[in-house]
Amino acid sequence: MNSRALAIAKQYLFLALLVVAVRAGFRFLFGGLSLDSLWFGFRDGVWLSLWVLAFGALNILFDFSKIAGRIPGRFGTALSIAINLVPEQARNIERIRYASKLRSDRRGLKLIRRVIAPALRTSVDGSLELAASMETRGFGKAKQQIPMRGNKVSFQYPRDAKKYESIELEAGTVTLISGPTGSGKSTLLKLASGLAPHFTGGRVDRSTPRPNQLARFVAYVGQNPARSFVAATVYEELAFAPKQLGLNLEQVEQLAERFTLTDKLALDPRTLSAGWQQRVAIAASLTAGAKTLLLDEPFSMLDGQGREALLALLKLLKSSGFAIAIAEHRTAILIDLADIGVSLGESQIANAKRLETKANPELHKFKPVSVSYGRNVVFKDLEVSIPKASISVLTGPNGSGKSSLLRALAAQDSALVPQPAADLLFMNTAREELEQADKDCHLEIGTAQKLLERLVPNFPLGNNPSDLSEGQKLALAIAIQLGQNRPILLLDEPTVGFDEAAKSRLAELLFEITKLGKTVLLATHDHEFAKQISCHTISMGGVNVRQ
Amino acid sequence: MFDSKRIALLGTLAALNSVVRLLGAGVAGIETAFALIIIAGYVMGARFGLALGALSITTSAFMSGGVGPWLPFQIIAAAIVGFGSGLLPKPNNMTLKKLTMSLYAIFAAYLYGALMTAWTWPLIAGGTVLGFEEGADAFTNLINFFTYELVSGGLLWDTGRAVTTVVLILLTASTLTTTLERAATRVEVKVEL
Repeated sequence: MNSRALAIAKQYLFLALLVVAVRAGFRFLFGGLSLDSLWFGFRDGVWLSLWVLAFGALNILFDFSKIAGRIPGRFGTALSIAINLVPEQARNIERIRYASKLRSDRRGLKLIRRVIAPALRTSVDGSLELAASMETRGFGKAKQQIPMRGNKVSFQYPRDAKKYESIELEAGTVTLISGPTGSGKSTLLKLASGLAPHFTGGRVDRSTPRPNQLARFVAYVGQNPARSFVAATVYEELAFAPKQLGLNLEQVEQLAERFTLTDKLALDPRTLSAGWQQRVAIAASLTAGAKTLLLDEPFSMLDGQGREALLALLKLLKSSGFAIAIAEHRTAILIDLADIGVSLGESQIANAKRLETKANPELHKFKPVSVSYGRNVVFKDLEVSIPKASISVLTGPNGSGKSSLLRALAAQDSALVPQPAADLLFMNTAREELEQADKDCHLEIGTAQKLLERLVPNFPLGNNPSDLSEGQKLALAIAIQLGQNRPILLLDEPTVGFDEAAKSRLAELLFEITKLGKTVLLATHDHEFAKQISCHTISMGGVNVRQ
Repeated sequence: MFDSKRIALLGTLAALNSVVRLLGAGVAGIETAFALIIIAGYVMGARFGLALGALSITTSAFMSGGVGPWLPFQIIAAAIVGFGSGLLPKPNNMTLKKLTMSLYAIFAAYLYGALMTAWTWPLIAGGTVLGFEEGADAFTNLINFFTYELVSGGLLWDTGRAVTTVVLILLTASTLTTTLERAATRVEVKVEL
């Protein structure tokens, strides 16, 4: 008997006993205080409890959460999303709860707001990404599909507000769209898929097609494939688009084979690695028969191995006649594959200063730390020491235990900024966040604000945290965490979603922090950034740690 | 009305709410799912509140093996609570908004309790002086029902639900309404011709 069945059985047995006791008690106390009425009450109670037990048995034998995906209609889809997202939401809440403990050690009721506000913000952002993935795969009542002529896709986008430029994607080619964050790379892809302006706001013309009207011709995969999944299994995920559009499911098997997903069809896509999730998302976007594929920063979530696999896949798709457009600021990766380059905006990349390190720096020695998951020991009695008042980097592939090490070190008088930093933010404006931080640490109001203004001049203090850029959110989180006046600052993957310009601003920021006499240790799988920012690197590969 | 954005938001919030609900489950009288249903209904409108109420309850029942004859009653009652929240007046002041939602939360907690008692009442209290009397006037039966609620501890339970919901609303409503209002503006796209 598994734990689910056991838990349900206990619950229903308790309920059944309660029903007997309550019914018998009521009949006896309020239906004439006689043995007869006690007996009648008991008999009724047993009948009722048999019903209860029957439903308990039904729940044990039949897992209702498994049928959610088969309920048709829009609300069936909503229910299926809800049930599939429960484990992820539980993980989110757990992660945010950890983050809020990093910020202050408040307990009880006050903790609720610190957890529920970031959880809701994450949910809202996630739901919009999910909606984009659903609609580009044909969800919703599309009046008609808008066909494309020939094997060329062309679309126009406004540049300098008035001038329209046209881009053509030709079959069998890869177009690389580059430029810094904010230059409009993502917007360009969204225009091509119909997501802009329908999902970004702005002016909508009656003639502007909705994403679901383009679903059979244009495939789109957003920046965060993990947030694009609707269904409980990889197979259902691939079948989502054809089902929405009433097409047959032939393509599903074919594409699964082509993407080497055949042995993963029964798995939950959310449990796969970032690389496989990317693969499933791309396959799922193509099952409606689109021959044009738009990818928004597909390499940002991947480590070295994942990048190689994705490159190989793109090569295969290109040779079989797909027209591919990729928005990516890491242009070096795609240099061999891309045929056409489109560069947006002026790049403001200022090379980050390589920070000078003293010849014989004073070291900060952490006490030995151990981490294990259940019986699986990640590392044991690991000794870490880093040079004081400078920046050190912890590198290694996804899953090598970087975050676990930081968490273990956070217990030793260090301030940790988790990934995503927004987990720490729960107030309505940046200024309120800073004031709350001062209150939490019993400091004079304005201390954290002064620190932030020193690090980032002209910070938009009146903004809602959701309106801040990733870099600004991180700076705010750092100011909040440093308010605790701890000598060590730990950062978990701070560069996720950053372009080169944002990274060099982060480097400047961290340099300012070391000038305050703080010691910085950051975990990242971004090797280029690691090399730029620090000479002292701790690399983690699997279980072995070398310094 | 329910386009992809709303359906995705509905599913995501129902998942969040059923996690929140399961966190509070097991402690007598603690019901944590109502605050989000009321706040979301208030901001996103009556139809959204109705759908979120129904979906939250369905999701947590499906996840925790809570499917039984009570489920339809729970779904309908929670849907009514969410729908009603969308019909509340919306003053400009945050404190007044919180007050409106809190007062409604108290009403909703007892309403939900009464709707849930209504179907167990004949089964548990049948054949007693507190039960439904056939042929008796409505007033007598209402008195019986009320006494039953009092004696069975149902009102105590409802009070627990009201207190948790009000506390949650007072603590979280200002940030949550801001977040949801922002979501609402992102969900609506104005069509200009």
